[in-house]
Amino acid sequence: MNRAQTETYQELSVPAVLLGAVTGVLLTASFVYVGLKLGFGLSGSTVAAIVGFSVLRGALKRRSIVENNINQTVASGINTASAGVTFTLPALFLLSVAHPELESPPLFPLLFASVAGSLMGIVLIIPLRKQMIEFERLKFPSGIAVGTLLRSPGEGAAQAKLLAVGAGLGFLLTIGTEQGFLPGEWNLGAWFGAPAWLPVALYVSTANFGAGLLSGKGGLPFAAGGVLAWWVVAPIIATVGAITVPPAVEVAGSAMGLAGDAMLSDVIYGAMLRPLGIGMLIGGAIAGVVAAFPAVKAAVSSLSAAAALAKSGEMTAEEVDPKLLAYGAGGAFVLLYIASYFASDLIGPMHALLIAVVGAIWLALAGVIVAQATGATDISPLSGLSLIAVTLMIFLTGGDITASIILGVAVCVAINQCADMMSDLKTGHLVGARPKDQQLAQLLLCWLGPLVAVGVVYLLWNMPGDGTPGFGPASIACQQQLPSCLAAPQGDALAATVEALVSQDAAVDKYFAGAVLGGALSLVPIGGLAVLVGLAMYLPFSITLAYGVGCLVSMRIEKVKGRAFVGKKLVPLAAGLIVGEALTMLIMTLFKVALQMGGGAS
Amino acid sequence: MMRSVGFALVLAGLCLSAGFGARLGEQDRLAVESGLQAQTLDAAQVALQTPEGLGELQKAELERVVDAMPPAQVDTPIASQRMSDWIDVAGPMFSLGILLMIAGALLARRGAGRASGEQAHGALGFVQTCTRLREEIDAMVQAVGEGGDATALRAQLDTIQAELIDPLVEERASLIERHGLGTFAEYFGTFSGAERQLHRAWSALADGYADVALESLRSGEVLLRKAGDAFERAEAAPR
Repeated sequence: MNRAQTETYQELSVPAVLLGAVTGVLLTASFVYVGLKLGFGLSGSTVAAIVGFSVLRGALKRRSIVENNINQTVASGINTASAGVTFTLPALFLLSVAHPELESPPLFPLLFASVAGSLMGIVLIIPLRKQMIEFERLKFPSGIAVGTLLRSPGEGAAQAKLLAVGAGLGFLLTIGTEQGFLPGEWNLGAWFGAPAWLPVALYVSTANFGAGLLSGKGGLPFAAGGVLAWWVVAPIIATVGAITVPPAVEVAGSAMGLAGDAMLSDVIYGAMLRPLGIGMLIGGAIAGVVAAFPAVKAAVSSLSAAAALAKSGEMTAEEVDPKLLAYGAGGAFVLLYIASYFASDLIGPMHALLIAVVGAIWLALAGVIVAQATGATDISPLSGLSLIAVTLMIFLTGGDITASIILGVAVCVAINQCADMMSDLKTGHLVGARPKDQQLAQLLLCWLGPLVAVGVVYLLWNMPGDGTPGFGPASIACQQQLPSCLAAPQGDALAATVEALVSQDAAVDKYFAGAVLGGALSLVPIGGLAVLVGLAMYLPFSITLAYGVGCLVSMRIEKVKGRAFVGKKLVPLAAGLIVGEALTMLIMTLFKVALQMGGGAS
Repeated sequence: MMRSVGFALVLAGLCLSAGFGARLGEQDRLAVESGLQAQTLDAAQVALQTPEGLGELQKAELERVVDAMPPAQVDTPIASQRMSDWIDVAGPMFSLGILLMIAGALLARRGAGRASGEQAHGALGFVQTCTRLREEIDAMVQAVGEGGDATALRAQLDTIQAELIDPLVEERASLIERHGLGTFAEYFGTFSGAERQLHRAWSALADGYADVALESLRSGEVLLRKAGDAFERAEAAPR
């Protein structure tokens, strides 16, 4: 059984870091392109883990689960920048078409901001590892899925089969919904004539259901939040007439096939529940950070104590030295300050300092929110928090769109990094990795993803070479409906929102009410309750309900079959459901893009 | 009982404050309705320009409604007006709901504190689990040293996780109530470190590195001893 008397058990190794870097760069470039083409991001962890199996274990004959974990940590750490950059930066280019005074976005402040965001996201979230993973025991369903995948060479045949069955189900259901053989949502309420503001619908996603299965009882508050929002608050609002659809609108809608209750439901969601949910996320996160302060303090003290013991040679260091984190935070802040100062000619040194301080505070808070939400449910409220970041920056820069979006890029990259780092650390916990090695690996290459992502966006924008836009509705390719059209839907939506924000259209009353609600709910002795309820209000109910069904099924199975059965059978099956959907989406997306490039289906 | 009453108050307060928190101020409500009207008008004009999907009756009806629809003229209020309007329509009931939530949360916390004081189940469980885990690890160290079957050893580690570690992890709320978050963090962080060492032993066994597995098991044993000591100090400290 032992191959080890002469070999070192590899973990943070050159091949793992190099492979992770190459995979990460390729995924980043591809996912930026996919994001501009189709408008959504993809996760790279599962792909990187599978590439690791082929290269590290297959071609290089290296046998180390924890080494492959470093490979996937590096690759996903680099790739995570693609989502942050693709969501925000294209808006700046698109706005420059309608507002020629914006000119071309300044490259260096942009690079400084994105690298600052990447570095700051990592160094600010690392001290919360113990709090989130060891004390709160957040599930991070995708982290569990990747952990299960990494452990699969050592699992028995039964578990491997269950992983494959789950992945197969994920594949079939995803193909079915994407190709239109199955509905994307099972609207049970419509079968018995329930109005749209009292929805009973299930989002068809094996990853969402699998996340519910992995979360079990811990995910129930999230489902309960959705029930509160959609089965209590929304019906009351609709029936007491707190908001109505004007009769003329109802008649016109009816002539166009739009039901009045569906329009009312959209208004209740968009103007009331969603902003209230964002406010709850903020209030819940602030209160959560305050409440967790003793544990965070103890965790940071233990980091310092462990660093001292490691220096004296008494034990191996398991976490990065807090001094390194402090230097990292300082360095990231300096980069953010430089980015703020050079983002616009109108920003002076003190103004830039204020922007950098507020930006860093919001970035840390939003990072905690996203890490907690992802940890509990696998769902990230990225778009809402990024919008608030841009709103905040528009306010602080006195309406300077360029500076606001550049700093929005920093925040968006940072909060993605927080969620990714924590999810990777969860995977690491499950395979017994050294947190220090993972943290160092991600810190080492945190600059690479933003540079690649920003570079690809610049390259694609300048691709035509004649001064016309390279992507967006105004690009020649999109106007002529060519297969090479990159519509940049996320950037387009953010650009529209930024224009609305400049005209001061922000739901401050709802953010305030939500924050107070979130703060009060945090007093209840159930960890993370306010963030979960806020997230449930922020999301469409079909997602929350399907996730809740997963939680209930998991609880029932645990009750009937016992905890060991859940660990041995349900976890690999649920992990397979998540991995199956992720991989199928990736393959289908690349296939679709290839078809479009070749002039096939659009 | 106190806990149940507390949670009932929280639920009532939450429904009340969420319901009123979601309400729009008067000007905002008119602006939202006006915005909906503008959107519908835009959609109707697009539909009338490409009326293939509309029947004759529908088209006539749509034209009639569009012609009769008054122009949408209500502007979105500025932030300060939005706030004051919302406070006018929802402030008192929203505040009442928040007060109910705070009262309920405090009652629920007191109830939970009493329950953990009355039942030392979690506390006893921690000591017993650490002892049992160390015994299991000792046996595994011996088995690994003697070149035991790696598959069986990994299965044993899975059983330890499911039967000893997971149930104790479920008890953490009562441990936090008993010792406070800061003290809990000191011993539970060490305990979690031991758990991670057992996972590392599992991975090393799967990869065929018995010496690494042995080292990890021994580190886990040391951490469990430290966690037990830290726990006893927490128990001995005045509360």
